[in-house]
Amino acid sequence: MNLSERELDWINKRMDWYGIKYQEIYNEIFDHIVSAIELERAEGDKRTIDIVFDKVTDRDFGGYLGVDKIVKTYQQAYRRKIRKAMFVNFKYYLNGQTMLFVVVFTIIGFYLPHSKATSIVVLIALVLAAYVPVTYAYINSPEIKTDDGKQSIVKSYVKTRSFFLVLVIINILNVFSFSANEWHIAFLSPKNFHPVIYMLLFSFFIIYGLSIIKLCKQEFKIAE
Amino acid sequence: MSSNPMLKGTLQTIILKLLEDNSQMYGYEITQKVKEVTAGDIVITEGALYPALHKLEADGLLETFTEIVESRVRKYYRLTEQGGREVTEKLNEARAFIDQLQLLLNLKPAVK
Repeated sequence: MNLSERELDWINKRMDWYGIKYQEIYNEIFDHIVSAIELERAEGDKRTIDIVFDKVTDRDFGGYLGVDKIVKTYQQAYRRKIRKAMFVNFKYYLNGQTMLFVVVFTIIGFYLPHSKATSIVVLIALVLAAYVPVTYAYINSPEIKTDDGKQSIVKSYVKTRSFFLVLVIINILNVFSFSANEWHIAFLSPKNFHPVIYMLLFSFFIIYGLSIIKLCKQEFKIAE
Repeated sequence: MSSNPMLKGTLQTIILKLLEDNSQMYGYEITQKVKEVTAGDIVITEGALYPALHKLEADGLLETFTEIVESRVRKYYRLTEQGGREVTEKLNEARAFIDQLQLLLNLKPAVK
């Protein structure tokens, strides 16, 4: 027995009390509660929506604490899924072909002049490589309809992962520069890094970037 | 977890088996199916069901998709290829465990 628009609105407002941040989790719990209330109604419980709602949520979910526990375990499980998928993707790209590519890049690094100009050029390449996965994730993230104050767990977690390389580059530029200046240790300054270090970093950025793009395709369900 | 504490270790097997038989199901449907098959003797609580479903999804045994049903989003679960292989393995483990229990507790096989 279908619920009226007014009853569905009431359930939506009442569920705001749970403070569920992610739309996907909210949708699943909402659908469950509405399905359970519809069955109650079909079996003859004609009491007001607030009474049937409390009956269903207390019985099925164990009230507020039960819902909160489901939300937390969902987030943990999704985080684990993303971590595992990234590990598998990284392993997938760490094949013979890419290892050859890493070796070639490392050899090139030995032949590049150890100068400030080289450091600047390779740093620019690193910054660009760091932004490729972020840009890809933003451009290809699907339209997931979210209610006010909610966000998509899929988009949020995948985008966070795609920012990793940007964080690495920011840390290289800030932390190492700061440490070099603060403690007067010249070799810690990014402009004094040996080109081989940059080439190894660049190889890592490429492999990680490809892994993120694959993750986006998997999670955003883009046909490969 | 559920009304029967002995089910604790078999919840994942139950879910996988139901999805093998029904190809795709949503959360509430799974709880209702278990209730229906066992004539209400086994009730899976949502506090146990959803963490188990999400764990199976995270482990790559289930995949999900959504559909709009009566103007609300419904999330369906179905077995992945890996999940399909896992069902057989889990069912064999469950059968072996039941056989061992029968030996240990001198239970007579259920007569229908």
